[in-house]
Amino acid sequence: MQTSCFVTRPVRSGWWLGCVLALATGAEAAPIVPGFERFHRRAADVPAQAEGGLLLMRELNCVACHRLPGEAQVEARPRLSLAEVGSRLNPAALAALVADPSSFKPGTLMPRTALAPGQAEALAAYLSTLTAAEQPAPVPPGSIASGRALYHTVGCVACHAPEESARPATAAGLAAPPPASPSVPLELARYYDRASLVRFLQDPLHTRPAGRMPSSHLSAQEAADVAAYLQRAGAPVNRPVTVASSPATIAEGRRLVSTLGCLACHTTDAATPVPPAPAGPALDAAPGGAERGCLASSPTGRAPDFRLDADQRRALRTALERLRTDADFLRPEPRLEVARFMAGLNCYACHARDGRGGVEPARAAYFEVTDSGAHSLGDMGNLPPALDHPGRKLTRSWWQKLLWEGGGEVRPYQAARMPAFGRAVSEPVLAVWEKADQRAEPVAIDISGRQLHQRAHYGRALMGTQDGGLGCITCHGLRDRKSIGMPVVPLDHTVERLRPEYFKELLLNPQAVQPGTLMPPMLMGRPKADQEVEQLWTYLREIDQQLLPFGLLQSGEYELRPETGPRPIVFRTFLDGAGLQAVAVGSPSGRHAAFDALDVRWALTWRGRFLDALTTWEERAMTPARPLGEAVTTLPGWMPFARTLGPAPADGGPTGAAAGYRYRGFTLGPDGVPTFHYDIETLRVEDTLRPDDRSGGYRRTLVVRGGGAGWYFRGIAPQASPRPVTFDAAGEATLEETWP
Amino acid sequence: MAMRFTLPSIIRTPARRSAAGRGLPLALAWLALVPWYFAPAGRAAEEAGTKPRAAYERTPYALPSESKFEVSGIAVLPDGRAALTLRKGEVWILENPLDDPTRARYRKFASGLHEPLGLTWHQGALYTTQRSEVTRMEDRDGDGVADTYVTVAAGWGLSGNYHEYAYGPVFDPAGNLWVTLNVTIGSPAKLAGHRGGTPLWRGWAMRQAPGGELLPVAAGFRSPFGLGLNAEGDVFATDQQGNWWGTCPLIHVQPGRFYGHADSIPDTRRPESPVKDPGVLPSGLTVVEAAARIPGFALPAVWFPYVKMGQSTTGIICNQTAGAFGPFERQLFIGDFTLAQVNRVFLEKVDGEYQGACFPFLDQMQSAVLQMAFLKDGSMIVGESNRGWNSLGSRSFGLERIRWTGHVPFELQTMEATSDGFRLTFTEPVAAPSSLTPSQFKLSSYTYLYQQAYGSPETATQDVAVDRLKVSADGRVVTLTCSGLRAGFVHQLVLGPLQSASGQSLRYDRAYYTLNRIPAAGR
Repeated sequence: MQTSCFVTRPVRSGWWLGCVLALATGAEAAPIVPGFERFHRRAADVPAQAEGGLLLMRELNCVACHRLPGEAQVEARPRLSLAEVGSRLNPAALAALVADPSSFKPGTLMPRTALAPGQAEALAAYLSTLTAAEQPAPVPPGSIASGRALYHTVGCVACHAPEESARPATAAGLAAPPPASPSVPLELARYYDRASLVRFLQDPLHTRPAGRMPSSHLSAQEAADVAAYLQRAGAPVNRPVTVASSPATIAEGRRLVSTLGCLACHTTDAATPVPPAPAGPALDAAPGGAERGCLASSPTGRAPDFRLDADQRRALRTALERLRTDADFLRPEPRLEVARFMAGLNCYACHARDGRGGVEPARAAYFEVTDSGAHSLGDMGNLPPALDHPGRKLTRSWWQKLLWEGGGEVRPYQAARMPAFGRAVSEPVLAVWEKADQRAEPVAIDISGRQLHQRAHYGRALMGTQDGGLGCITCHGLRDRKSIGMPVVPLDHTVERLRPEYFKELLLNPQAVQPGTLMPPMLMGRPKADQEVEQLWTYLREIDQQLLPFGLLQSGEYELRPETGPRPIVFRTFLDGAGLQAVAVGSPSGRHAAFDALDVRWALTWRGRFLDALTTWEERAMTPARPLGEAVTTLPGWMPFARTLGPAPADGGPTGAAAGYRYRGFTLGPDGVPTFHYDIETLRVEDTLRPDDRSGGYRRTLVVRGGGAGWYFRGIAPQASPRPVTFDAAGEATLEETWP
Repeated sequence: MAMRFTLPSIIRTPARRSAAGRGLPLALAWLALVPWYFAPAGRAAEEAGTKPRAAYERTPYALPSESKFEVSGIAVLPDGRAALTLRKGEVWILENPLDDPTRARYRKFASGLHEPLGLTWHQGALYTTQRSEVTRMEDRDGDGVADTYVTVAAGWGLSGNYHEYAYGPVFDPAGNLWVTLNVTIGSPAKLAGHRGGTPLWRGWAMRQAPGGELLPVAAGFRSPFGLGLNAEGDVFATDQQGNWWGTCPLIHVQPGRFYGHADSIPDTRRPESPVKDPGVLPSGLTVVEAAARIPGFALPAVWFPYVKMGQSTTGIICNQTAGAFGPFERQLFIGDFTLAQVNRVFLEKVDGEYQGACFPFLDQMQSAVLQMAFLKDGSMIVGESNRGWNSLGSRSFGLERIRWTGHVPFELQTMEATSDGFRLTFTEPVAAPSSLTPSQFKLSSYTYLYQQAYGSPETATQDVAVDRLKVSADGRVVTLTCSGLRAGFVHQLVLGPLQSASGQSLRYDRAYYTLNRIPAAGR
């Protein structure tokens, strides 16, 4: 890769040496517009040159001074803020910058304006007064090593130069060609005040709302780390500049900012408004004009000098010619308009669309996965996605998150971050994306939720891995759960993120909609695919309130664990071994029991794990629970009180109401242990079963009131034999039994 | 996810993500394409292109994250707090229901219940109906958590089949406790090591006098989720369209009556049954014919035409807020599960029997509406859960509050039957009364088949001629004189474009009057 101009290109050994050389020699450095460099610099055909010229025209912000030929115009770029420039750069750096921008910052888009002696110093004096009004919050100290790691992983190197030595271990053994396109130089960062650099990195759109340096959502610490890395070589030695900051000089600088045209691209946000810059000549002058002014090979006089090289001048001239002859050049088809937008913001540095762009192979080595499972996704694991049809894929609210609000990232396994480009430049193009990506034949999906088949639990079954489920969770995680296989986009935000029509289109034929996707066509050819798509949608719409699918739901998630608390768990359910009116009592001691409120007797004891509440809490079918522990013991079926002393009936005899018992409910003691209340004839019984710590078994206590002669108590302990019920003076009888 | 008895007593909840999401607007966009749904639901104002000032506003409560707030019962306590049952078996207290719903505070009061589907406050205690019993919960030691679970009514049968839901209780003014019981649909539970249960009184309404036994009262219910009182203290129940129910009804529950579902018939042969065995059911009848031919068969007070007025009626609540909930005092509000909405009912007595009209009230709730209650300030609190079925809306469960904004909407306040037509009372005077014509009042009538198959189409539909009309001096009452009224039939009224004197369009333009009886002349 060689071109005629000298720009800071990464070479195999120490790319930034080039910058130093450039500074030292004052070498010419043409402005770097990444999209132009990558797609248009060597364009042979006229249409491509014209597109390249238009891109330069937008990026160099020609329309800030000139009216374009024809009626249609392009928007000027949002202006770069100088509001706190005096805090960011010292006077010497400011003077050097304004005197000769491209020498100071090779590749800059800022043109050189011819200055009379002393004017650079006056400008610097004025700009130095533009400082933060309030003392900004202190920034944390940064770590060069962490900054290097961040710089090479969060996505900076999509546009800026990587360090070869920072290539991730996974790519270490591979050949390392330098990126084919020039990187956007970082020279200015060296001159920045550290704290200002940290703040700039955290929120670049605040200073530069045009979004060409997007926000990577760095935290304060991350920004401090990256700043430390960018300034790792230490502060540069400034050329000695004397800046006299007398009021007169400052006033002169302020006047110059206004009269030299700085305000075409900058805003000072100063309290005193500065008159706008005079407009340059209209560009629809005679054809010969395209060789003069800014477009002259060596601009003279008041014309700003962008240091355009021959390719760039040719492209600009071609674009101007096209503007004069083609009234529709600025009224492109939506797809072309999207392509122009992507070139301007350099979306192509990360995303491919219509076969153009995507991360360059030499830079792709720096895009890493944070979840080793994602290696099996190939390029889809570490590289940002192709933008096949985002205009019909994403909802407006998700675009908003992605492009300016933040919080729209859905690939937690990728280290690179989707940066925010700001609302100002992003919002106007959303409607164009939608038009560009429209389907010829609309997809119809019913997401009303009122069709019988649209039940969330059908969708849940489809998501899962059992009972005919499609197994979506093999790759897609949900809520706090990773998928059980490779990690792809978790589905939590599906209904906020995707348009339902796209959801359906994708599910019915993934490969056609996202060429190269690893998603299998699970629904293809299924007779009820349309309904199943709607079921999945219904489930995902309610996902935060729904039971996780089979496969992601861990067995035991609904397990009741009395051992974790000081008090027993009392739980009514259908229970194997204790019937449909069971009251299960889970004890922290691990010795559990169940009372059958229909038969009015203790029915079951067991030890260890208690119960799983899943079916009781979640299932419509309400499958009976069953004891999870060991030593499940069915207690004798007889009733506790009898009028005769005969042998217990083999089948237990009549129970509950048939035996004259009436269940009254239960009360919880101070320790939470329930006492069951029931009546039989005149007897009023309070029946408590609790773990007996002495024996390691159970102790049952019955308090009987109501009197009446001739009653016998038949216990449930293995060796129990009937004994008479004797009331004391207070009319109470207390009966106890313990076992094992 | 262990259930604990000791939880922090106060839980602050962050506001959930926006309830609207993307689903709802799109759902509605879809509905707009379906004329048979959208048109009958009839938002006249939208059709007329004017957007009336909202009369009611709806706000979801923030929910605690500890439990799924599938709210199945609501009781407003004397101190203004709201007690809530959750389907998973808990009772929670919403401490500050009148504050900003996004700052709702909750504490758990009871747990371990078996799918409670109703809650009421009666004589100083909370009562709920579990699968197998009515339970009174008390906090005797005053620590804010229930420690006493008294079984106050039980005795109905349970086979373990999923459909055996039990609802209530409500207490009537005489102190009688009422519950309603679903029929069993499908097979009983398989219980290892234990004998199964037997269904008993399934599909019945039950009543227990103070100090008495729980006894069967009326039969023929299918899935009578809603149980409530009107302002006079009479007991009403709602039921679900399905087998034997052509569409959803509102039933005045009266002893000895049979409302139609056949599964309850075997128990009419028990000695305790106050309902006479209706015998072998004839087939191929409309419900109007069934009422004439089947002994004991009673028609509901109101039919909710299917889809037009919901698909699955749920809770019942009577508005006795002294005007704090707008111009519908003493009317009933009825929830709907599938369409996630709240409907409104006006009742009147003709020949001693209730009948009346239903009207749309508020749709686009966030999930299936189960229960409603009125808070101290006259706003309505709505409990929701769509588990097991599906519903409109974007949530699986939740809790919302509906407040009257103070703005009186223009709509039908009441629709009364006369001997030869209907008397319509509007909430505001109509504009230009003298220019009203009968063609602005489209009436038709239809009924439903009484059959074992699920649901019924509208049957025997006829137009009803509106011959003339008269507007009251104050402009609020329009009396229609009609020909072709049919006793027993639902009379559907569709209002043409109407404006109020203050310039409002109608909020809803439909009403459905169940004309079981045509009043004698002179009413």
